[in-house]
Amino acid sequence: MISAVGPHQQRIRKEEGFYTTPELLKEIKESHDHIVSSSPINQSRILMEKFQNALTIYPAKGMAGSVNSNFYEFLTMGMVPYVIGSGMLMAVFNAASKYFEPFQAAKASEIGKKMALGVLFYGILKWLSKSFIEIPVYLKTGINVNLPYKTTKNELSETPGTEKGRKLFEYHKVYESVDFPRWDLLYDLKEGKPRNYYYDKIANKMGLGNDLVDSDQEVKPRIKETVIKTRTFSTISSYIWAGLGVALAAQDAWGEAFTNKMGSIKIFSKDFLERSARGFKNAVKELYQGGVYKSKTKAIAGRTFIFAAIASSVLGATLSMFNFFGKRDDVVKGKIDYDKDYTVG
Amino acid sequence: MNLIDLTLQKTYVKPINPSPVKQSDEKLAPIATTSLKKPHRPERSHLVKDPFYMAPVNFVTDIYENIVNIKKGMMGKSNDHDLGRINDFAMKAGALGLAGYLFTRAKTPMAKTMELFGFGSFFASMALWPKLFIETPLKAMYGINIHQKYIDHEGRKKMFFQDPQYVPWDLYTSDELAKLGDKLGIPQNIHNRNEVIKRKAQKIALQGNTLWMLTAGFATPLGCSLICDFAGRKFISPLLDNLKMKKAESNLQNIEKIVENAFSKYDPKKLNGLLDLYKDREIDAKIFNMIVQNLLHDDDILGSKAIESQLQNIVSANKDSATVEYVDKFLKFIKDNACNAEDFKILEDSKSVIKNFAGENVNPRKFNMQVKYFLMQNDIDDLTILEFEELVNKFKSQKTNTNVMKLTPDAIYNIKQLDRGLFEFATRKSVLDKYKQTYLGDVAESIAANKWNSITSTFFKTLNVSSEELKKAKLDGLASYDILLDKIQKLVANDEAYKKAVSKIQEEILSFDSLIMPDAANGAPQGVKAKIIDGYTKLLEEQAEKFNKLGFNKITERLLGDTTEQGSLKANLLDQTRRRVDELRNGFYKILHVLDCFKRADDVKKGWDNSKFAQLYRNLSGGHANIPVNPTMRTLEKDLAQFKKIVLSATIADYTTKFGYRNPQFPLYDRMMKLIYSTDFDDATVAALADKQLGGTTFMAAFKKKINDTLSNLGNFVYPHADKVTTRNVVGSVGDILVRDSLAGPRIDEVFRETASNISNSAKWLKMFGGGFVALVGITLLAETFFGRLPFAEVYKRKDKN
Repeated sequence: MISAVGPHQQRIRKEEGFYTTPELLKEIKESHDHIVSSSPINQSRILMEKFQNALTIYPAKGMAGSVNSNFYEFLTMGMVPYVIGSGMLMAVFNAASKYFEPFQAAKASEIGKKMALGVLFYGILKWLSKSFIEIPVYLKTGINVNLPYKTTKNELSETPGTEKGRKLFEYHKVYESVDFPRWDLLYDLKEGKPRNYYYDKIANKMGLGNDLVDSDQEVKPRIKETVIKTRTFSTISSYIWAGLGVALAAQDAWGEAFTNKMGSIKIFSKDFLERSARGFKNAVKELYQGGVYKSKTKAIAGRTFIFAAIASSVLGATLSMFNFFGKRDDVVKGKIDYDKDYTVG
Repeated sequence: MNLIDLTLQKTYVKPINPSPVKQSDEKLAPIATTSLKKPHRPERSHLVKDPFYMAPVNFVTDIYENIVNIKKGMMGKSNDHDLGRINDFAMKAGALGLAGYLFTRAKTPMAKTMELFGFGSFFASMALWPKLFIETPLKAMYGINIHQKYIDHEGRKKMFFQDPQYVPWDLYTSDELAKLGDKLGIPQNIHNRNEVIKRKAQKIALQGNTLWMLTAGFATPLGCSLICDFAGRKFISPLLDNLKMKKAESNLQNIEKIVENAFSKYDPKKLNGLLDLYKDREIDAKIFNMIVQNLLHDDDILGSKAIESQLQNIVSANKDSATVEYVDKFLKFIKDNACNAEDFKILEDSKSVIKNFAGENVNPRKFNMQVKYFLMQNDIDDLTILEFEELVNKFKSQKTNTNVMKLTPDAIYNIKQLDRGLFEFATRKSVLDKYKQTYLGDVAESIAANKWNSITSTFFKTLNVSSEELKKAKLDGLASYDILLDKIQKLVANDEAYKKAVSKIQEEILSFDSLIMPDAANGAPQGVKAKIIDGYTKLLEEQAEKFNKLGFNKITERLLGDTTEQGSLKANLLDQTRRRVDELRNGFYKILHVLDCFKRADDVKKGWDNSKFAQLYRNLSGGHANIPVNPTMRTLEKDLAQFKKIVLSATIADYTTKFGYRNPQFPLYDRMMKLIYSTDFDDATVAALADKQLGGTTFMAAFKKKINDTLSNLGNFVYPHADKVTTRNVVGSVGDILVRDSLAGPRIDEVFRETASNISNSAKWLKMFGGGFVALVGITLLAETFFGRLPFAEVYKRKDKN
């Protein structure tokens, strides 16, 4: 009998002469929540799939008022206004320019391009800056705050007459809820390793050694605390970096880097990359020095932004790990001494 | 009595009232079960209303909560709800920081204000879209508020329908649920009515939230930009104008304080250092120039020449003046170096007269000028005068500068005094300059610029240009001229429309002119022009007096000029101001004048005998000896075409060449001018202008005066160099073509074309995005009519009696 008790990943019992086929194994595996790879490629794939669903299935279900819509779908659809909104912002500043007179169009598109670049940088830096905190935390503590897991949703039938509804996949994070993290998914993580393998690893990084009996007891509260702090700091610092992105885009250096004398520049050609690099370098310089005329207020504002962004990431990463490390003695102290007499009061 | 009753009788025990526990006992027995303290029960969750007018209050209370949240988050003690709240707060704070940075980059006050206003309107748009176009229509259509809020047992405010799989219906009592069902239109007496009510409410809420997610991306940027555009034009721009004016006026009032403040920060370190370094030493030209550079406070408005010559007087022994010995040297030089000494014999003969020009304190330059006038008055020809000027230059350069410059303590003291005086002058002048720039400046967002934009767009609107014509009107001059001509003629043909147009334009003119040049009842001028001119006059005279007392007469000369004031700073500043005011007023009044001209010309259609215009035309046909002038309808129509062309598109160059009228035909030019610049306005114009006041006089009087002034200036206009030098009025020449540039006002067809271009751009943008917003609202409202349809017919089955 195949033991698929609870969300255990790979428990196959070969007792009673019963074997399983790979397909059946896969189906069993996938019928429970299971952790998936958190490599950057996989993360991008997950994001693409979520976005695709957010544009197609979830709105269709929502507009039809399906009983199977849940909070996850609502949150995932929250991506849609971000993307459309960014596009609309870019359009509001640029779309009408081509109907203006040439001179006016040139002036208007100067401003419009800066705005569009600002929207782009806002999005990129907001997304990128979270890893400035999360990656150091992962390297130091072994906690991947974005550890994804996949779950299958077998939906109720929505039309009378059919027995089953759709089968949809959802991608959650183990630590997306800090009140109820999916601790259960983290046991028996790797085949052939002990049950507490994941928690042992983290306990080792905590400095408690790698031979604790119940490492999960010690580690769980610390993980929770670290995850809360990391989320807080990465949220705050992401907005500061996003603001820095817009401030960078507002500098005049981009206009200078991309003035071209002949024809238009092909995206991602060598010329384009060179100009982008030059524009970026000069924009950072301009932001630091306070514009082309080196005005004092602008310089102070620009430098505040740069330092605030860098400080928020550095501080965020440091403070997230602040209370993480512990002393082995404090933990081991609680061991029972068999030679001592205890009284139960 | 049975066994049971007996048993009960025996086992009945009287209840014992628990003895009240004393205060001290409670402390000793903390787990006593007889304690009268109420056990802690969490607060009951309940529905709440979240009215929109509380939004600002909520905004402020949220800030405190958010700070507490962030602290908890940093210590690792938050829960899921708190972490969600942190994201909202960080977004708002980040956006504010960004707005603050872009504020420092914005160049004009309007741009700066709009950065902050844009920040506010973005979040307002984000909040208003679901409130106005999703929540309210759904409430009106179905009776349910999909964004109903409740407070849970831990005191956190949450949305009722946020999670479709967990809706806390137990917060509704069954009466409230039944009432909700009535609002939703669910029939009474059906099977499982409560379930149906919940199902329908949840369905509408889910559909509403989905629609919100889909439309928010489009609606928020559109709404934000439309709000900013509307509010910027209608409210913020006039508000900023008022603030600018108030600030300029208060600066003018408090000029003494400003000067005081400036002096408290006055610290000429560089100059003092330089003077200390070279104390009691001789200085060469290089040091001299360095001192001059340090004395230049006011962007060279005084000119380094005046400062140089004053400094020269201070530091050098020799003084530069045209004394009697100077005269002798001068005349000798001329006699020796002239090509033909006979030409300058008159100087030798009138030596006594020439010596009168000289004196102890006479500037050599002034002396040279006076000798030149003398020569011209005595009919010396041009060539000789030119030669004289060359000789003067040679004489000046020939003088070897054997001055020794030394920084005596006296000189140092004087230089420091000079510097203080120049600093004070520059500070005072800058206040007046800023005042002038605010009101009259030829820059974006000055009062004059904003008012000009306002009047040109009002004028454009009264012409009722359709959107196809707009596309053509913004192109080249010819197409726009035709459209303009057509529109004006249509406008003046319709009396009602014309009167409305005239009164609108009059309003615009009044709003500008009542600031600039209203004359008070007793004729004393008030308003901006008077303030500027009085201000400059007072400034220059007071400062000149101060400089005079200190003995800096070269500076005084530069400020006030010599006897004729020509070329002095005072003349320049006052002239510039007058010219600028004239230029602006010419533009504003010209628009009204153009309308009146066309209205007058319109009544030609009444016929040769009945038309007032034809009457005027006949009266003006004076005739010239060489040209027979018989005014007929044909000549009138020919001249009418020319009339319209001049009114709409003449430039000052055309006036200069008299529109091609050849010399003997100047009377024709004269007639055309009188035809155009007539103050005998059309009746409709007079009626529309009514009895509006402008300061102490009426608007009509001011308008008439403007036209008469323009006519007289244009009429006296003599083409420079056309007449002989001897009759040229050299002092304050009215023939100076620079003065005339703006006399005829701007070309109305150019004004029309530029305005068309600007309006076309705004109209295009508004059509694109305003139209897009309207379309979005339409789609949203249409979609909402399809919400809440429950598919299964059996839910509406009546409840059976059994």
